[in-house]
Amino acid sequence: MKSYESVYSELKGKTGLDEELEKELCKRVATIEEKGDIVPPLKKIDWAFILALFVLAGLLPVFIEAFRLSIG
Amino acid sequence: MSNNSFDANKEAQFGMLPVMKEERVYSLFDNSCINIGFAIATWCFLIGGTVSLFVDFWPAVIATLAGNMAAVLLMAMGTSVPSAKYGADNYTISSSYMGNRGKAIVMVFMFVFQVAWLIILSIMFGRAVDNVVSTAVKTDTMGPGFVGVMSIVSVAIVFLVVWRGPLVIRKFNIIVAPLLIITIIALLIILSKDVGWDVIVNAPPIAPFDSEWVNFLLAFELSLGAGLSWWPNMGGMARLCKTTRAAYWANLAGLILAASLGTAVGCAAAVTIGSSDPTEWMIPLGGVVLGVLALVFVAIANITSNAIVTYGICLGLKNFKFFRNKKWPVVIAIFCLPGIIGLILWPSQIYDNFYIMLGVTCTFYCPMVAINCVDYFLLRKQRLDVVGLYDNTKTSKYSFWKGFNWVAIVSFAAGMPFYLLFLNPATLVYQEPFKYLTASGASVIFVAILYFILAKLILVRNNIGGYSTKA
Repeated sequence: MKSYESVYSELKGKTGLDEELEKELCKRVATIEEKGDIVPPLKKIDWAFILALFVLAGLLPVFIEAFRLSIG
Repeated sequence: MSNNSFDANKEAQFGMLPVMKEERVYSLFDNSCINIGFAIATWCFLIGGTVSLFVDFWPAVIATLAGNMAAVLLMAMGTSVPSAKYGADNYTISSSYMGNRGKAIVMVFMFVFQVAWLIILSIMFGRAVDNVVSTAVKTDTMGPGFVGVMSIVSVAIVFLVVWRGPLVIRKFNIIVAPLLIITIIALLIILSKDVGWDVIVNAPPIAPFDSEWVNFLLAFELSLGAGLSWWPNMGGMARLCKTTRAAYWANLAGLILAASLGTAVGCAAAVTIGSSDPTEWMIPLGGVVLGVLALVFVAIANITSNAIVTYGICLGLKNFKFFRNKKWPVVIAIFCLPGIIGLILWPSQIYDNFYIMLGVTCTFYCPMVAINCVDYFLLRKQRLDVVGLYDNTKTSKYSFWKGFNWVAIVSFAAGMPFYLLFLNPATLVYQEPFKYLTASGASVIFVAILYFILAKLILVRNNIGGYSTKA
């Protein structure tokens, strides 16, 4: 977790942005550092859906087609 | 909201500032519409045409859906998820794995690819308009000059849409996306009424190889490649989403389902009437009124896609010194200029090599997606140093070696030729190992393992790149 002052001291003159914009950037970066993120990441249920879709709709049809052709 | 905060908001939407929660404008519905508007364009019909070379209708649908599903779910993990979380586009985030100067390598490739897409989509718009106008004046075509002028008009419209920014893109797509879905379904109905559903599902592929398995895999491979190729366009929109779910799951509606639907129509048309491009067959088959309406929507579809391509790359350009303090319309104009030059000088050379372009970009995106995902999920455990993302000097955690992550660059360089050991993307000539892994699958797995091992041995062990800290 970093304060605005600490972020500003780290980033000052290193972003290539105008001074005003750089200050605004530092405010935002400090807020993100404080919270850890801007919006929460995906939940476990999302990852479970992703995995299920990846396997069932992404990979399984290919294996079924391979099986179908091998016995055909 | 004060003037200052208003400007900051504008700067966030059109520049490098991370987009904060209160500034985010896209819900899941909005982003789904944007994704649908992006995915549906003449390109998905043309991909359907290529798929129809190898497989008939139902295997094409299965292979397309499976390929898009696997590729988009993976690709969006590395782009939509971190961009939503940190409010930064994926070019800014690419500092974390390419280095704060190494991201320029990504940008150079992207700039070339995206200019080519700008040209191709603009020509697709020009050809659609040409078909509408030539029908109205009862001639075959208005000529290449007319198509050229309309293509340039398309760039001008894209310029205006992107200039107005994300809110206009949202309004545009909320109206256009449902109409595009209706149009695609209407295309399929008209096609099946005209040539017969039985004919569509029983028509043989156009130029298959002897092996049915290889044919299916080629169709799957084309969809994997197309799915991975959305990579450069993802982060720009994801950072504007109100939740990570809105950023991620919208891809399911657009890049997976809508794109697969468009590809299926292209495939059905190609195997039955010999042309995947609906701008060529809509009027003869659907009649003047329906045909012209559908053509207008297909033309607009190319504009919506082009707007998102242009918005994403222009945000990325803002990462670089030359563009950083330039006004937003100037950045768009600089990006559009080579597109206009290409449209004037080499329109057919670029348009006719659409498939080569898609293939070449695949060899690039496979290693890029692999490095992106391994770095973010396995090595950094979804935690980035936000200060490091915006520090362009050697003090940044993402400076690596003088700004370049050579481990990523070497892995990336090894991944591109590795793809060619399986498949030549330009000629679609395959090698024996392709039958077991596909080219995209093999390339992603190879680069993921290579990068993970090298990064653990060199970067993490020597505390280079900020991997060993919690941030």
